[in-house]
Formats: sequence, C-alpha cells, structure tokens
Amino acid sequence: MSESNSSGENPHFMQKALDNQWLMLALAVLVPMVIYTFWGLWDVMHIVQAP
Amino acid sequence: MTSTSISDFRVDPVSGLKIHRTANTLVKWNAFAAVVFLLVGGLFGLGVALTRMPSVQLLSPDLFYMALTAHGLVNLAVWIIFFEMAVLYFLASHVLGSRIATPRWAWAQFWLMLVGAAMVAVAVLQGNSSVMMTSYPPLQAAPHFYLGLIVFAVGALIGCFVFLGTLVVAKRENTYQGSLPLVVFGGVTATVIAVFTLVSGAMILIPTFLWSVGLISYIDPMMYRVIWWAFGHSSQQINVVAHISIWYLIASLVFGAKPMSEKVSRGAFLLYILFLQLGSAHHLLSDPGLTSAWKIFNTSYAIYLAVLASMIHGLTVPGSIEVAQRRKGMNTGLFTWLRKAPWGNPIFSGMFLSLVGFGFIGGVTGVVMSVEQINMVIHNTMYLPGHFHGTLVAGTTMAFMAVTYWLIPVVFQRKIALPGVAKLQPYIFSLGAWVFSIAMMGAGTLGVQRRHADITFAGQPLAYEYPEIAKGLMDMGEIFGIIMSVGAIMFIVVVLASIFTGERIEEGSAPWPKVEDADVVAARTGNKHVGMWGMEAPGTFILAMILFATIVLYYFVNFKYLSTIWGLS
Amino acid sequence: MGTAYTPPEADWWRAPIERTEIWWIVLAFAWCVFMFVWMIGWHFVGPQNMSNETYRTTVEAYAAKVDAMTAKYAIRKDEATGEDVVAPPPGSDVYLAAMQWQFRPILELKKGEKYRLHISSYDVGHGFSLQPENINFQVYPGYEQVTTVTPNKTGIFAIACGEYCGGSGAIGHHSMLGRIYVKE
Repeated sequence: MSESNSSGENPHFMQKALDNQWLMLALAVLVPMVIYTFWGLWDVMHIVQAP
Repeated sequence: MTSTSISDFRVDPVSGLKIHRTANTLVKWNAFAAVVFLLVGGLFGLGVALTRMPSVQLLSPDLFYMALTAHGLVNLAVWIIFFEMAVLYFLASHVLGSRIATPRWAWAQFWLMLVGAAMVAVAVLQGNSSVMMTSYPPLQAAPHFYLGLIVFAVGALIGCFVFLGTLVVAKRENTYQGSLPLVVFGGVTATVIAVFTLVSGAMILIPTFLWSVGLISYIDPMMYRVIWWAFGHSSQQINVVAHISIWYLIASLVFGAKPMSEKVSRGAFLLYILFLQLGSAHHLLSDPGLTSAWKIFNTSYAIYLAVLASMIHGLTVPGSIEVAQRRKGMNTGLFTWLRKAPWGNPIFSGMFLSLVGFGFIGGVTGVVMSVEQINMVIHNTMYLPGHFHGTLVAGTTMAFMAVTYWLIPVVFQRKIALPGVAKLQPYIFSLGAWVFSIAMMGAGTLGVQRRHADITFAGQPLAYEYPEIAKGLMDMGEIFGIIMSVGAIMFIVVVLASIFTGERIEEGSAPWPKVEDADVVAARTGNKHVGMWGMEAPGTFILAMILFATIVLYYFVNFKYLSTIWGLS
Repeated sequence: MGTAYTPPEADWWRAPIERTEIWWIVLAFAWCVFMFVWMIGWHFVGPQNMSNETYRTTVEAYAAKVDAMTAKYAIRKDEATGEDVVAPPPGSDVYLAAMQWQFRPILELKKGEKYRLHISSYDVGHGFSLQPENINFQVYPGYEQVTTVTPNKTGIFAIACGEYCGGSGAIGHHSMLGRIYVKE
C-alpha cells in the first residue's frame, strides 16, 4: 500500500507536521497557555466580592 | 558551515554511533552531577522517612520541614533535570551522529543549573526557606531561594534550545536521512513541553522573587497556584516523556525491537504535546474559585486524550519487545517471549520494572485520584507522596538507572564494575519503591496527612488519633522506603565504581556484539508472520487487558467509597 | 534499519496499523470518553461534588461573620479546651476559619441536616481535612468557599491541616486541629 511513496516524495501532511519541531514548540506552548493558564486566571479574576 | 575534523568524533564499536567528543563530555558532566544530586536528595529523603516512621520520629519539626523542602527540590527537580539534559544531548548528538550546536551555550546550561541549585540549597539549609518545594504565598522564602530556582530554570531553558539547535545542525549537515528516529522525536516532545514549563516558571517566580525583596507588595495565592503548577506539574510530564523515550530506546538496544507503528507512537507523543500540561489542574481540584468546567476539562487532559496516549505507549513498548522476540524464534505460547527475556540484565530488568511500576502503581492511581470528585478524599494526604513515588521513583528514576547501565560503557568507555550488585539493584530498588508507594497510599486513604512532622498531634487538647492500621502502614511503608534508599545507594556505588575503576574499553575495541535488529533476523529466517489470534503481540494485549481491568475496578471502588461520605455540593 | 533510534521508513505515516494496536486504541479511547462523561455526570446524580460558590473577602470581613455567628449560636463550653461550641441552625450559613495553628470555632451540627459551610483563612494557606471522613479542601486568605454539607453520621470529627503552614517546634502545621461534633 505504501510502496508508491517509498522514495520519500510527497509525504503525508501529518508526517510533515510532526517533523516540524518549531510547529511542535508552538503547539506545546500556546495550547496549554490558553486552555489551562489563561482560562484558569480568567476564572480567578472573575470571582465576585462576598455579599 | 563549521568544519569538523575526524578526531572531533569517535565511533562506538558496538552500537556504531558516531559520537561527538564535546557532546560526550557534556553528557558525562550532566549525568555525573545528576547522580551526585540523587545521592544528596536521597539522604534528605532518608531523614524524612525516619521521621515519618511513627516508631522512630528521628528529626525535630524544624529539621524535618527543612529536610522535606530539600528532598523535594533536589530529587524532584535537580537530579532529574540534570539527567534529562544528559539524555537530550545524547539524543540530539550521539543518536543523530551530529556535532553539538553552540557548545559554549551548552556549558552555560551546566554552570547555570549548578549555581542555581547551589543557591537554593544554601537558602534551604540556612533554615528560613522551609516552604516546601511548592513555596506557596503568603509563605515566603529568602530571595536567593527564588533567584536560585530562576537561574536553574534559565540554564535548563538554554539546554532545551541547544537540543533544538543541534537538530537543525544535524538536518543541515545531513547526518541522517528522512524523519527523526522515534526516540529523538520523544526528545523533541520532552523539550517543547519543557519550554512551556520553564516559561510558566518564569511567569510566576520572577514576580515572587520581586515580592521577596519588597518590590511587589502582594502575590495573589490563587493566581500563584494556577501558574506555579503549570511549571510544577509540567516538569513532571517532561519526565514521563523522557522515560517513555528511554523505554523505546532500551527495547531497541536489548532486543533489536522496531516500533510497532511509527504513526501510532508519534501520534501519541503529539497528544502529549497538545494536552499533557493541562493535567496540572489536578493539583487545584480542591481549590476555591476555579470553576468545575475548567477543572474537569483540564484535569482530564482534554477528554483523557493524553491518558489515551499513555495507554498507547504502555502497549506499544512491551509489544515491540514481544514482536522482536517472536521474530527471533520465541514464537510459542503467550509469554515465552517474556520468560526468556534477559531478566539478569539490569538494563532490561530496570526498564521493565519501570514500565510495570509506572503503569500499575503510578498510572492507575493517578488517573483515579485526578477525578474532580475523588480528589476530595485524597487531597494532601499521604496518598499523594505514595502516588508520586510510584510515578517518579518506580517509574522515571528506575528507567534512568536502567539506561545508565547501557550509557556507561558507551559514554565513559568503562565496563560496569560490581556486575553482581548491578544485577540485583533494579529488583531491590523497585521492591522498596512499590511497597513504599502502596503503603503510603493506604495510610493516606485512612487520613494520614502529608508534610506533617508529628503523626501523634502530641500535647494537643483536641488531639485526634489515627487508626492503628494507618500507623502500622506508615511504619511498614517507611521500612520499604529504607529498602528503596538501599537500592539507590547500590546504583550510586555501581556508577561511581564503574566510572572511576571500571575496566577501560579501548577505543575501537568491541567488548560484546551488537544485538541484531529483529526485522533483519526475521527476513533471514523467514519468521515474518508471528503471534496468534491475528495479533502480533497477544501476550502484551493480555497484560494490557489486566492493566485495563485494574483501572476500571479501582475507578469504581473509589466512587463507591466516595458515595459513603458526607453529602457535599 | 528498523529500530527506535534509527530513522523510520520513508512513508511511515501511511504504513498500516497492526491489529493489536487498533483493538487497544479503540478500547482505551472508549474508556477515556466514559471517564470524561462520568465525571461530568456525577455533578448531576452524585451526592458528593465540589462547590463552585466562592467569594473574595478580607480577613476583617470574614472574622466579623465568624464572630457574629459565635455570639448568636454558642451553646456550651467544650470539654477539652473550654472554648465556645457553636451550634448554628440547620440550613444556615456556618463560618469556619483556619489560622496559624487551629481551626475555629468548634462546631456542633445535626445528622441528616444541610448546612452552608463557609471556609477561609486569616493568614496563610491551610488545608481543611475532616477526619475520619477524609474530606479535603484548600483554604486561602481572601477567598471564601461555600460548600453545602450534609453530615450522614454522628460522632466527633477532627479537622487536621493538609497544607504546610509553618510553625516551629511543637506548635505548627502538624499540631493544627479543629473539631466538629455531629449529634442526632
């Protein structure tokens, strides 16, 4: 099934993405920074004053 | 392009790896520093163990809290990160056959980390920084405590970029063709997670340092916790990625194993890159102010996708060993391949014990305890140190020890001294770590608090007495903690003896043959189709099903227990 | 050439996946989705959940609430320490404070009744740890967390501290205690 590309031409786009260490770096920093850090700080900053 | 002469490199005659001499020196120094810090941190740990043992209670409270802060920082951060720097240089340079990029920056990494660690050590030993490794405000440590951590982190960050830079050099100088080998991609995963970790550390430790010198008036405790744990737990996730990469490496070195599927293993690493850091939220499940939506999404690592990745590696690593063994002729029955594995070789035994210990003790308990609701009945009890000795000691440290036995002949060009001790060491260390972890988790389930200098609440009018069995578990657990220390000392003795007195391996002489690649053997002997029931790794599948059943059972047992306590909403 | 430390084949993403892995991935993924749904679902059907009700407060404001409750509902002196035991009525707001190095006031509650339990700290971070139930929450100064609790057993419950909070010698984090009596 994969013999037609065994010369290394036209790799799958996922293969190219995973081979790109700078893309991996961007994902590793940005995704948790938004989902964990920014969302978490948002929650903390929006706590209301006690009645 | 820098010109490098042939003598800048040597070739390891067994593995065939082309080794850059400068990179090799960096690996040696970082690995040696790591082992020295393992010893130092371990001695503090022994002090902690002997104090938490109800029948001994060795240290006074003040000394206990100081020793506990030191043990946490030195073993959790310093030993492990120095070792990881050595591993990163090995992966980028030795495995790819490339010169190391910017050696001067690499040395800056080493010295900054060493100076930073020393500053923190001085702060803690002076007695005014017993704030535990987590240093939560409003508790405040001395300024050089925070500054030391910052300097250490800057050093580590430099190391990460030297790694990434070396990958660029290797690609440009064509030292390998095609995609990176799987273990090096694991190194990329660890490194990019480390960058997030260290950036988060800078985000919180720099303001906290400024607070400790009076330039900032207030640090909000909840904001500190959210950001600190992005640093604190992600640093542990780096360890997971590093030890998984080491498992794959050892499987190939000892068995000639081939990854079952590059796509599956790398896809699992991608899930780590995206979602592993979210799990830091499990430290904040019992905290005020954070919504359950945030807690649930983050503690689950995004619908448990990073847990799926761990479960995948948990199958593909032993699976690759099974396939390799079957292709080399051990294709009968379900577990012949495992019975006939080299259990007397500490490189393999340490690696496999690390896999089992991390999976069954660290992994099962970790997945369950990080459920938002179950966390309420384990948070800040002895269950926590029990769990994380299962991941970090039975898992990561054991794997690092195992690979060291392979690295010493290659990097230091010395044979392992005291091979009898080395053979036993993984078993002693793992026995100590496994039983310690389980006993501590038992004591924690019965309510014993963590970070307590005195289990008896002596002299308190409202005194509470823990159940006798809880105290018994603490006694027994700490005895196995001592056994764990003995296992660590055995490792340190073998390493030092080998490095300084081990039989030298002359350059160019191969003291033993390289293990043949399993697919090469298969092509030669015709053993291409192996396994049973249409599966290439049926034995591993059974083992994975046992792990699966354990997780499911433990999950529901904990929910049953949770449902018996006071109503809470 | 096929090892984990040598480059993979050229078109590795398109290589087929072997059956052992496929079955395991499907099974593991199904369990992962189940765990996620169960954790959310327990919020709707489970009797024990984290509260999401939190307020910002100050030490002074919170202390005033504690003192007001104590003045109104103290019913006797505690046998062990001679301090007030406070018995707020079912359904009411109950204020507990953590401080270096005790939890106060000493409370008395009724089994089977609901109470809105507020917790906050007067100084550093502490950990509320109810024993032997083993219910654990973080407690911070400036933050007031409200949880509706329903004691389902009678007895004497201790509150230990789970978050390191300093101290020296015999008095400190490890000696920190509080108490809740639960009567019929």
